[in-house]
Amino acid sequence: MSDPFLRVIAQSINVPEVLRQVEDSDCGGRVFFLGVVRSENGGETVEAVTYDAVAPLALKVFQKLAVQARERWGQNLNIAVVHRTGRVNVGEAGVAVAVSAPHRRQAFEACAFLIDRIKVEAPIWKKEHYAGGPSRWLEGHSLVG
Amino acid sequence: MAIKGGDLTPPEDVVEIEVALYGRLRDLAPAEPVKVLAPRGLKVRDLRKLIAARIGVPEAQILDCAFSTQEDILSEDAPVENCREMLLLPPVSGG
Repeated sequence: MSDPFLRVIAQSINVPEVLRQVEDSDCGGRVFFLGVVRSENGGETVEAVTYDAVAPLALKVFQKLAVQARERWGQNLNIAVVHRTGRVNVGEAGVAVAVSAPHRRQAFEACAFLIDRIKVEAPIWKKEHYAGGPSRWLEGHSLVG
Repeated sequence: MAIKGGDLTPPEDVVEIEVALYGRLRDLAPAEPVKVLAPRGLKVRDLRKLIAARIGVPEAQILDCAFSTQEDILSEDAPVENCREMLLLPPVSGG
């Protein structure tokens, strides 16, 4: 088991590098989630999104979630989370989550847990840019306790 | 506001708070951070009224926004003088 690989970056996500972070000969299941900017949302044609983030706090949230995942699915999980900032075009990746575990079910469930919680806890915001020029910040989940 | 040595400095019972804006709030006040003068002892929750007035929006528009530092969400009941540089975080939408 290695320390979780957690990053908030302004460059393209290097998928092979993310996958390498969870290589482990003791783990028979590897699950990889890649969140990609899609071309349509709510009837609007999307050209790109811009991510804004508070990187130090986001990394702290990633770390907390990695600890929770290991407490729930096993200390032998390997975890990698990489999230983009800045402009990301349609078809490009905005977030990657990789998990390896001894068995597939642990890996599937931990990976789903991580991306689900990142979307509601990490201080990251998404602005969609539409064909023709307009743009809009997406509604989200409040962090007010 | 008192004048000391030619500089404008807040009186001792008032603190200057800088608040950086993120996400949709950036469009409301591009020239961030927003600076407000707040009385000592004011709670974080009550800072919203001052911020809203400063950036010219109804307070209701930022009730769902949380205050934080670069590494921690702030308690709504914390006194503002504990943290002179804050971030105001609208509902998150990453992933």
